[in-house]
Amino acid sequence: MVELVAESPGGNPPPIEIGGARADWITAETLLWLSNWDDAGASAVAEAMGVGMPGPGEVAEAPGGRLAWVGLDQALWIGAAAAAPVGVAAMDQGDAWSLVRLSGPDVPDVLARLIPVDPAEIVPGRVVRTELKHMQSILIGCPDGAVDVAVFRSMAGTLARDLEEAMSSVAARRMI
Amino acid sequence: MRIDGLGLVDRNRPVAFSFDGKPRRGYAGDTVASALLAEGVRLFGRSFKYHRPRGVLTAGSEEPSALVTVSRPGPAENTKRAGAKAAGGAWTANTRATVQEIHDGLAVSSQNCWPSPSFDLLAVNDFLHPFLGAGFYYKTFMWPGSFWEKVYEPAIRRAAGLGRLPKVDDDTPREKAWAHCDLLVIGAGPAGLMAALTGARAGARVILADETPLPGGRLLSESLEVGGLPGADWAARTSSELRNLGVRIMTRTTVTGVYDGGVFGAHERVGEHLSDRPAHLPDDCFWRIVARRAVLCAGAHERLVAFPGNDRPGVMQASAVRTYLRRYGVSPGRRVVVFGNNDDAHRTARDLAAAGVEVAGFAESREGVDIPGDFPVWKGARVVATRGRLGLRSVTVRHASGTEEVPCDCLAVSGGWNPAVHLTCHMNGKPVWNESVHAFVPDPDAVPGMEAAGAALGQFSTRGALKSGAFRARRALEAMDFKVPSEAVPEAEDDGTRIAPLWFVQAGGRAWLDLQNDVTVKDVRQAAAENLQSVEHMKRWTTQGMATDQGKVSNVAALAVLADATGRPIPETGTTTFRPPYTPVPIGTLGAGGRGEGFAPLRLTTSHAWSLSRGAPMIEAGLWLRPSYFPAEGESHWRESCDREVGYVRNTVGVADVSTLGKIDVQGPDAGAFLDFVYTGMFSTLREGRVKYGLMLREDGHVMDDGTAARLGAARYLITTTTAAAGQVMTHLDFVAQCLKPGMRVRFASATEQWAQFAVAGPKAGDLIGDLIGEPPALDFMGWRPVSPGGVEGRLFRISFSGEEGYEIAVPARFGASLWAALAERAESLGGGPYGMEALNVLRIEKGFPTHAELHGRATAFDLGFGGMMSGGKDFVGRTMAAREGLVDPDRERLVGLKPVDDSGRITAGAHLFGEGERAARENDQGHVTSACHSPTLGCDIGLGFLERGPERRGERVRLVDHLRGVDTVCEVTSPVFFDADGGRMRG
Repeated sequence: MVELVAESPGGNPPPIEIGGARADWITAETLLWLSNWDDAGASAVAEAMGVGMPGPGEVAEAPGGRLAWVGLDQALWIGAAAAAPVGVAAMDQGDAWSLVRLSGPDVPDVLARLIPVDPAEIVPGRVVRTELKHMQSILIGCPDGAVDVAVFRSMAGTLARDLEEAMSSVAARRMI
Repeated sequence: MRIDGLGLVDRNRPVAFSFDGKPRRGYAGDTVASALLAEGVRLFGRSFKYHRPRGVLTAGSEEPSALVTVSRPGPAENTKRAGAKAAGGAWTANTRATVQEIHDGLAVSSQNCWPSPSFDLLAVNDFLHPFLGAGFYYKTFMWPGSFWEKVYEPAIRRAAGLGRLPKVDDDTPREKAWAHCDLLVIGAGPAGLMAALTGARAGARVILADETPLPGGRLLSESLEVGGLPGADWAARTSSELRNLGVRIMTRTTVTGVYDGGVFGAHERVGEHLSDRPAHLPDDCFWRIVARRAVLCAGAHERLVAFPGNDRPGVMQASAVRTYLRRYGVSPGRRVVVFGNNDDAHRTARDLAAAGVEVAGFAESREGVDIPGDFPVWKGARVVATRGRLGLRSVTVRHASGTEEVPCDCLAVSGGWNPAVHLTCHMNGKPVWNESVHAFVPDPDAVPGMEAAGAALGQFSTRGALKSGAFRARRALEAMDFKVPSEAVPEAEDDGTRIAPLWFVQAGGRAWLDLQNDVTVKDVRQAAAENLQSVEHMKRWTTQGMATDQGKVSNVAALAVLADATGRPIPETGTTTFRPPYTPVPIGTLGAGGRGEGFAPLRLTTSHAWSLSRGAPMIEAGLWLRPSYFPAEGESHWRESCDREVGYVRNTVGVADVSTLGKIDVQGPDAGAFLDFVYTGMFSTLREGRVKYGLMLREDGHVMDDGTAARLGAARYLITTTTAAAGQVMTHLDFVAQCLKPGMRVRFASATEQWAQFAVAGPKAGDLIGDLIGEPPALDFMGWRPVSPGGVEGRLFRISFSGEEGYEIAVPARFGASLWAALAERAESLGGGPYGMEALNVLRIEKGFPTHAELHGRATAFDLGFGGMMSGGKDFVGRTMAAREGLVDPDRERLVGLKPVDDSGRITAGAHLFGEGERAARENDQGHVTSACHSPTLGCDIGLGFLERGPERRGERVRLVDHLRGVDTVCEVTSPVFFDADGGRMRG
């Protein structure tokens, strides 16, 4: 019988801190993708997760986590372990995404070099799906100007590289 | 000549730079042009065609004449390789000396001249000018025909061109970024400052972009007051207030283009003006500014008057002379003549005289105009000639009392103003002629959400600009539902436009229009005479306005000459089309961030590090990197590794990472019906625990992709796609679900990244799997079941892409690296090992399994021999279109196998197929090879390809010819399945 060891996306990379921005790799106990096709499904989600399916661009806060809109009739539960509601499509995505928390006063300027969406829109309660450099991403607003960034697990290295490049550029501008 | 007491440069911060290797000095805040003019330099380089001496004409980004080459700091090695005359090695050619700021260590050199700007051998062209007029090359170099490519064109190309490109890679740090605002104000002159102030006071999010380092526009160049303050002081105070109100002032930023949806392109010079640049500081940045509304306050460009010899260094815009005087504290000459047709030119003479510069005279083209000043005034005058080989020495003025030659070293010319309408034309708008200001002004509806204000709108007075800026901003803000407080517009000069049009002077000699492309009045008249009477034709014939300045100073004058030559009014003649970018943007900046790994994301599998540790060369598959093969000790060629790895699978067991294949989790009560509609086959009847091969068609009936679908539960399937088409299939499913079958209760998401999946194939695959999961696999071919290797919930599929007993085992990606290492170790202990893409390819060709080499977008299921998979009992995407007569014609090129008649014969992918004994020419082409390999199993090359009536020709011989690789092989047409045709090994 084999013994299997879990490994983080990108192999436990260190945090990146350059100038006024910092990126910390974070883990969520559960990433659960949910999608309903009818009202009954929406009710099942509300009952199971404590919050209903969020509208476009919205993040619903619940006691155990957050339910973020990620597409048409789709949401991603980020938080404590939760059983999938019945009557909706549900899939564990806990291994599919690399998660980074961006924080610091330079976050808007760093994001301005990576995404076409206005960083001012990414506030608590809001989520955007957009292209981050060349990668599809999920960006969720957090308190104190922080932003949680998710890209596919396989691209964790590219995310680190892109963040580092943007952060370096912003930091260099601060020096002139 | 520096003038004490004037200028906004910092006299306490001297700057040392060089021009053509000679040390030069200026002050912080100087441009190359202002610093060199202060040092008495007038000759900056040579012109494009005739190699005429060129100096400074303007003081802004519209400069056509003073183009220089600026070195970029770089590794010394680059210098050597490039043989650069500018220090640094990498350099930027065609830099406008009027824009580039000086900094310590900056090395500037003249261009288009050899050996020097004062003695340039190619100036011989100027003597040959009677033979080199517009369009000369359309009429000459006609014979002998072969000489064009061999002699004429290379010679012309060597002689032509502005500046030289460096021969080294451009590793300049550059960046791209996005900015967002309610109101974008383009230009920070009086109109722009007022517009931004109006926006900021209304609480809008405002971006104010200006080309120069300092907001203020012409207020910094004029001795005018605003609100009782000197103009420059008012500009500084207003800028300060704007900053306090949170306005984002982007200096050194030129808005270069207007695009759909309120998106503006802008080029910011970030570090180009600094001698000490921090690491990672970009030289420049290309911004995409997203604005809800915009006000264009880009000002206006002063136009020249075309008269003989008006291109000599020393001839300048009258407004530029004022700018050098007041903004930089520099007089471009010691003895200046002013020539104009409007009142603005008077200010130049007055300002010069007030600064103590000798004004040698004022040539006013109009009669009856009062010009106060302590200098000679000639009314109804024209400048008809200039002298001075390398710089102006005198001008000849013709006036009512006669003609006189006036010694001078600078001639300040004003022919009136052209509003900078360019950005309003980027979405196909055409400017309209305004007779009252004798200029083209923007079409108000040219760009949705953008209005022009100030001089860009033809409001040339200072107060007019201030009022216009406030008014246009107010309109924009109110359209966005901002409450705009009423604000008084400051008092300022409000003189009306007084101008009498004067485009060119009738006199002998070459009168220049386009100083960058060396176009004269005569050239334009010649175009008209050759019947190229449309302004667009004239432009292309003469190249007027086609240089890097896009003819900002010359366009309107050129079309006025054309109008005169064709007897049409100016509005009827019209303008050419202004296109982005407004000013040149380096290609490297547009592509910033795309070098090296920035080109595309890298997708790495969980086994990536392990593959690298085994020395596997990685190859791209979509965005993924996959191992090509795993070299073993003693192997010197990839074929050795590949053959060995194929042997693992055929004889013992091989393992391969197949995580890159797309996986889509499809759920919902209608999941089966949905898959029935997207696949050619029937999936709703698939039993749980079973897997089925499926073919997906495009709407046009051609094959889009293939893969498997496993039924995970009553209302859940897991489908797989090929690596390259995963995104395309996902998009297709979204389209079908949202547009074609919106009522279906089905939802799906990509599961590709969630799972690490590995193929285990070969006669000992079952043993390996059994060892791994602690129990026999217990699966029939095309079945699946949950397994838990090491207690981790996983899935085991009995599927095969190799033709052997094959499994694919999947676990959540976090366990991927660990499981892979365990699989590889176990495979090796059984006499097998990992196999890479090369072996995978050989294995599937031996079995005739198609990949995207065969599913190339033009193949139908019929072509592939998969016609039987087109279920007749249901509708599916592509069914009707696939049944078109032409797509089921037996004569089509259809999939076959190919084997050399002689085992040593070569088969190569891309080779074409001909009848045996036929000439290998296009008209005899019968098909081509899509995949080829050497089969260690069969001991010869084999291939898959498409051949006319292919399946009917099995056993026939065909001629295979690869012209590129010099291969000519007689092949036998076979079934695409070369090995284990009945699939006994696979089914076990």
